Amino acid sequence: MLNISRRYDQNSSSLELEGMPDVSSGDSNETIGIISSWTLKIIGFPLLEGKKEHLENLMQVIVNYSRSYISGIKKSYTSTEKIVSLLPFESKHKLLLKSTQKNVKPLEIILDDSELFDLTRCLDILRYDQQVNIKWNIDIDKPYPKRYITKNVYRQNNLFSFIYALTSFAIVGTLLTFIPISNVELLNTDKIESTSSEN
Amino acid sequence: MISTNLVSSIRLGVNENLYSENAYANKTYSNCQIAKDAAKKLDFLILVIETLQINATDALFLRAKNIGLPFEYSSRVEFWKIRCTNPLRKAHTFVPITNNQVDALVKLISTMAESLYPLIRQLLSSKEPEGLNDERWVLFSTRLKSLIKDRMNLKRCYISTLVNDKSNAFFRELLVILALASGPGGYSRLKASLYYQN
Repeated sequence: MLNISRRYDQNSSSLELEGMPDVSSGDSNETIGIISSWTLKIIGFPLLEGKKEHLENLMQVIVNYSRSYISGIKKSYTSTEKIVSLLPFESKHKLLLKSTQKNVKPLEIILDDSELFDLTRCLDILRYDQQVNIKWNIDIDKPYPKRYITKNVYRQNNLFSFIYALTSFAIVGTLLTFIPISNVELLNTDKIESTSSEN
Repeated sequence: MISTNLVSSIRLGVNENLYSENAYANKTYSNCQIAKDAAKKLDFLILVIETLQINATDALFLRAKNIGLPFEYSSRVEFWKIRCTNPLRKAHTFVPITNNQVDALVKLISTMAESLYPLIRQLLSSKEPEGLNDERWVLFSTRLKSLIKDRMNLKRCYISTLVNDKSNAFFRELLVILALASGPGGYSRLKASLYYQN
């Protein structure tokens, strides 16, 4: 049986795939149709490895997170099998990987922007590689509904504007209370009252 | 068991044909409309490319020819006219940007981002030496601000805020978009971010 290995390198990330052609679907000798194993090296972090399902879960999370990040939305994503999560962590991104084996603590990887982009590019090259004939269970990049964008992107700005407006109103209101009230009108009304009483 | 090792070496700028070939790019946007800030975003992304690369305009025109875009994307005047759909420009047209124009500009920006990725990555990396990266940011933001002052309407509150902003948050956001627009999946990702679903 033909065993094929392919490697995708992007600066801090290196993904290596091992598999074989799926003869039943007519793959050529150089095409991977069945993945037997994969390893992912991210510089400064432990080596990740697993089966096709694990890679698919990782891909789902990274692709969805990157899709929302390009629209200015930093939002947490969890894979369908809930073994991989990616969430915003201050100015960075926290990748949580749960092992399918028992008594193994989840692995936490803090990625900065450049590492996230390297990983995204690595997985992009894999999913668009024509030498890998695998149908990935991943959402295609599609536009978000307008309401979703308004809700997620402008929420912070709106909150800031509201607080800013409220503070300015309070300050101006307080300052206005210190302005002395003109006595001219009071005197005039006194005069009117006195003349009316004389009559 | 026979074992062969095929190491895929996908180099920067080589896989341009992927953009036209990939299945995701061919999906229709029939129930979608162009986002209101799409023209602004695209123009600013080109401005960032101009900041990162000296003589970027010529490089853009050459790239447009190479990827088979129509004449208007390699002609200075026509290209400028398209960029004038950005309402924040000093001289702007009231003609809205079309789907074809968005598509072509996304393709162009995506391929340019691919070649500029190492530079973009350097600016966004937290692992770079701090002093050196600060210097890079000063250079980058100064140059971008001067381009903004040249091209954009400074009477607009948004532009004056941008020019005086010391946090460079918007510039960082633009670099993030460019970084994610590079690579084989970048085209469809950037395009999707410029549309709203009805």
